[in-house]
Amino acid sequence: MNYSPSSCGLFGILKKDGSNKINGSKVAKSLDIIKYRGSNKGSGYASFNLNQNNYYSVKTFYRGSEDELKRIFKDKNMEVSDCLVEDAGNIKSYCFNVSLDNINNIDEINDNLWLDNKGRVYSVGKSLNVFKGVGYPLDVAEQYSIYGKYADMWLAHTRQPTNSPGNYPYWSHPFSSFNIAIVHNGDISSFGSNREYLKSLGIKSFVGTDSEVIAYLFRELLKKFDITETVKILSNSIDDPKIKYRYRGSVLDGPYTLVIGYEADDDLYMMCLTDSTKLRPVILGEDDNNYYIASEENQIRLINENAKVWSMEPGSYFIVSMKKGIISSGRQNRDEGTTYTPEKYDIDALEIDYNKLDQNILNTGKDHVTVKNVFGHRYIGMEFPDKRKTLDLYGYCGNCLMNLNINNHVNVYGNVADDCCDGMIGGKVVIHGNAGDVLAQAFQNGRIYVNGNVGNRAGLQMRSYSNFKPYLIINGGFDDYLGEYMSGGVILSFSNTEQIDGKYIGSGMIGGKIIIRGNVNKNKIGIQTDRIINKNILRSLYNESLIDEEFYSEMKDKSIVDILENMPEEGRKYTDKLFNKHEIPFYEYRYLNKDEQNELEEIVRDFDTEMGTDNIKYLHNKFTIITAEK
Amino acid sequence: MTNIMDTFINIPKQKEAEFWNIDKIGHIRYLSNYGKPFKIFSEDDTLRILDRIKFKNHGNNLNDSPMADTSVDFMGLKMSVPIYLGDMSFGALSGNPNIAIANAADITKTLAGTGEGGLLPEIKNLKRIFVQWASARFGVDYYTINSGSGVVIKIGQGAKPGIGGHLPGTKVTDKISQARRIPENVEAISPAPHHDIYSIEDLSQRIEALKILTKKPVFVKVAATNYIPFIVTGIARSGASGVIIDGQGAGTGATPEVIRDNLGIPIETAVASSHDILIKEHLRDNFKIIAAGRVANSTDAAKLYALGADMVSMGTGILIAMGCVMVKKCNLGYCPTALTNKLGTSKIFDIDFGVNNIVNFIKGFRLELANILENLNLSSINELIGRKDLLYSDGISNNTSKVLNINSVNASNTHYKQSEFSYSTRYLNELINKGEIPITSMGSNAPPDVSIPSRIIDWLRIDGAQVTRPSIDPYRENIDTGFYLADGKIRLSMPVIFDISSSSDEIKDAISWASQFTGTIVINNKKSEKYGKITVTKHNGTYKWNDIRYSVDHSKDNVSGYIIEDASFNELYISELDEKLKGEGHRYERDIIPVIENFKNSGDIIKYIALGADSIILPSKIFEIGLGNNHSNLNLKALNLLLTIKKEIALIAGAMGISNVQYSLSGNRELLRGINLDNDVENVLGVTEAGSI
Repeated sequence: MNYSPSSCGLFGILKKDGSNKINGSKVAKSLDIIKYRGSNKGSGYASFNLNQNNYYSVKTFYRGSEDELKRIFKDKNMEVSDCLVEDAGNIKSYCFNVSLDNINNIDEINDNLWLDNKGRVYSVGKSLNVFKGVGYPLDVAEQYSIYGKYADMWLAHTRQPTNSPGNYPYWSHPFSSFNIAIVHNGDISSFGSNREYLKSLGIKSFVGTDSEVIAYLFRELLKKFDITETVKILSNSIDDPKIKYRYRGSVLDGPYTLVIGYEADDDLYMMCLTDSTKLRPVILGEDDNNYYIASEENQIRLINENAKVWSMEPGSYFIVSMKKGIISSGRQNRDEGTTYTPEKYDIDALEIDYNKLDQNILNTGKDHVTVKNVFGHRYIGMEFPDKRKTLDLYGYCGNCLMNLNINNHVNVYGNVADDCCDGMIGGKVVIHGNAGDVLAQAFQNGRIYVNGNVGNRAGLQMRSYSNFKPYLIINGGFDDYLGEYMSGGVILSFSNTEQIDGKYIGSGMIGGKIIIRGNVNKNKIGIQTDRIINKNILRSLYNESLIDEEFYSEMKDKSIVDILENMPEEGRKYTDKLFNKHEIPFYEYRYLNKDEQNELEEIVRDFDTEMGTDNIKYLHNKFTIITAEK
Repeated sequence: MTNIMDTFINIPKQKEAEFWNIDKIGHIRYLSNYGKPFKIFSEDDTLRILDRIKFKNHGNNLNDSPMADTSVDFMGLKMSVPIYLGDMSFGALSGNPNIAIANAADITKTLAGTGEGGLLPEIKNLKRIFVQWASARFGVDYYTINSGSGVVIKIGQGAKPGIGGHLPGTKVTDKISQARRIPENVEAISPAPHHDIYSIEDLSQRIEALKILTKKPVFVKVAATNYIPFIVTGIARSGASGVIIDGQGAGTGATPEVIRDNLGIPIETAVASSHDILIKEHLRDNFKIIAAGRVANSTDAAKLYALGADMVSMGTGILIAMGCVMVKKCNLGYCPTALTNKLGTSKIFDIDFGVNNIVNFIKGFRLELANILENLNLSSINELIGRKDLLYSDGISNNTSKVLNINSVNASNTHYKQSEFSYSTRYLNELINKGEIPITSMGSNAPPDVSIPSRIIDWLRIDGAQVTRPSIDPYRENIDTGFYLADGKIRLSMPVIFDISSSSDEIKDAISWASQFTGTIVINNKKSEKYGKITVTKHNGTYKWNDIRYSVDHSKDNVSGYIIEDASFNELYISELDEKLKGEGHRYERDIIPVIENFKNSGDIIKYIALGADSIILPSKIFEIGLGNNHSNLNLKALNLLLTIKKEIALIAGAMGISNVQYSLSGNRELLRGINLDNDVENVLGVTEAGSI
């Protein structure tokens, strides 16, 4: 029972009530276009078809005969009659129906089957059907005739394991347990604690992946809580201390994007959970017919190029039901973006491999190149960082756009994914849509403009040196850790969209300037101690007469920023010990001074020209200005 | 007056057990002086696993001109001997040593890694270098990344798995600012993880990007941690040309002591199991393993080649060849040998001295290696790589020899108590007086390899996050060290409670005050007036706080949990009680809280919690030991102690990639590994052997 980490791509789709069932070929194709995230070592699909059956459909991988397997089930009071046998590579998959009353012995059967890796029950549900195997997404789709199948909801997953303990599909996703199917991307650091908890509940055998553990946790929690509470416990968003304590073994930690399908109360639910810092990629979507969850935007665009898409907030959850619609949207005030098409173009990128667009651009021999149907292409600009080209890119740019750019000018009409402009030392990148996570990491010189919002950690460790200075101008808002470790340059956000400001702004900042229009909540600056700790601190300072009662009562509900600002010298000797350095940057709310206005005026005018905005008028407004030190 | 360092200085007397002892340093100095072989098949009777691995049948002749061929082809480079001069940055070293290393690599036909310091103008046209792409992107642009013969993505290093870097502003001189492409006089922080690499699929992406950019081989450097075999296969599948695995105890310019001494596993187990899994997964061909961490001499190297390394990396060894005397002050900037001192100070390292010494050292090392080959009846180094059949282990546990996958004689469990416990007064003193996490440099002397273990946890190492999940910066990112106890009725800001019952009133008051400030509680015989609210009273084996009861009697019902007071080897009791409660279905309604009487450092707390403790009790005696005779400013000193322990817990959690200590760490034995620990004890604890697949 070893745990071995893996990497993956995922997809989920749920039809709206009244829409047509979804064809498996769409799902397989939407998984296939991100197959570079997985491998030929494992792919799988889960379909849900709501029905009124009074039996469970049970699927088992088994390295023995049908009769043997039937006997094993019969010994546990489960009578098996019709049995569908499928080929799952080098093992058989047996599928049969079991009446609802007798289903509870499945765990015991699994414990016995797993003793010598002889087999595993891998799908149990009224409306659920899991199809998984060893191969690329399309291989497994072929193997199980996914193309001919229709369903109300699908989950899909492609996997690259670091270790393949035998060529069996046991370790492929989805993982399932009683009407639940789960696909997942990440590495759960709490895996060992979660497994201990499940063992204490009597679950004995594990194939050894974190998705399996999550499926069991979900099943066990649903015995006591409703769906929303279950999701909250798993993602550590529950407030009740007693529940926090008793279910401490069922909270997930580490990077994860989790997609869960679930049937209950004559309805289907599709859910997505992200870890507290959203370390794995995920995009949500909706159109007239369906809801979507995907690793990359292009997976959704492949089915409907005009679907509304939005990113998730860190540490949030998305819950949608077929009959009730969106229960929790994964982001407050979502910005769904716009799509653009060029009048003329040099390259249609639709059929070009995800990593081959640069060669096509170079082959045109032109200095100004227009590309349409950019469809998640990665590494654009990597082959010509110093060739002074102008690019107009229409569509959705994948990861690592214009990394190490020196002097190219790029206009993006659409959204860009993660890791855009890493290590850029010159040139200009103008993004008319939204940017994903970690935009402009170690950005050293040049300009980056974003018309929409930016994800986590925009401007991470931006810096300036000699006569180099970078500018990141954002028309909209930002997620967590804006300008983390920043040591030079300027980040300017006009907050013109509805996006809520992210947390931990300027954490670890050692230089440069973050300028945000409007008065940002002080609690969102840097890494702060929580209220309970603050009270303890004040209480102990008061006990030693280092602060007076008035100060205590005035400050006891304030943020640590306020407390430290007003702390008398004698108390400071102790409170200084709370921090190392750079946890909390310096905060002001004020008008820009003359120098700042002069510095920014030309840049903001240029931004307005590129974007068609009118931000220049805001330069006389008040801004929140965050710097490393006073 | 400028002082040119162009000669060896005397080695100070070593007071404690040292890995780089006088013999090892003397050996390197001999080679550096004379360029002649000195000693092969050295045998050291230590608890280090590599020292218990031996060659089966070998002669013992040493001659000055052996004929065996030590050369290899490596990524299109002809190497005279498979040595990599490991990844010491400009900034960590003072410039001239960096130039000496790169030039020596050229002369000796070996290879040098530049570390994360950018490229000095003096070496940028040299080809036998690998440049580094690290988390802070120091010195990275299109042109520098294309210099040299390959790129190393540095994920982690053995001396500090999961920890970022920090260069104080005073060290960022004009020259360093230019080389690193960062502002002058401003400190430089390296984030703990790469923020574009949170998983193996992200690593694949960056490898592919760098290959497109450079058309050169890309290597990935990782610390040897719990999942190393899987991480290495992940790297191999990601299209990298090879991996640099850096084992526990490796040298560094600066690291938190508590990280260095607790995280990571030995290079020998990591290499042996990585080699095997790569073969099993059909990934070994055309993929290179470079082994780093405590390669002290040609014998160590030969064993590592035979265990599966294509090349060994040497850092500390090269520094010693250039005169390092292991005073371990690199992080402070006043190196007596001018290797790591601040730029602009009066001592300057002589480049020619460095080049000559390294060239001689590598020559002598190469000749020793050729002698080893001849004594093994091999004609070339290629016949040695991956030849586990030539090795056997002598006197190690069954689990360990299983990981190494070599023949074993005298397989036996070493008793876990090998010495009497003693407190680390210096460490406690530093916590109490400075209130900062102790930072140190160079390799570790931690048990079990160097210092002799006195407790079971001395044989356990903690995981560090490498590739599969990102580590977390404990200062500038959110890590929750808080613990809920007693059905959620108690919330501690960290899983540490001081028992002050045996101390004087002034000590009691100071620790109580600091506990209140920090957000934790104390245990005393009775409630004091001032700190009654945060005091748990103990009487006749019952611990009381309001209506909450804890008992030392582990069969009692109607309690919130159990205290384990027995001082020695209570690691075993925790595990047994944890299992028992799980079996009875009460585990998640009750707490297990042991006393750590023999407290060495904050790593102990992490280990106890991973073994099943829900919090731990520390005796106030450790405060008194750290205080010594100076009882001034007791409140501040107690606060220093508590807050620093809390910071160290967050630091280790962050390095493990854990954002919530209670949820992720409690009973999570996956995050521990045993280092040749008694197999029966490993069984009881539920801990896996380091390097296991």
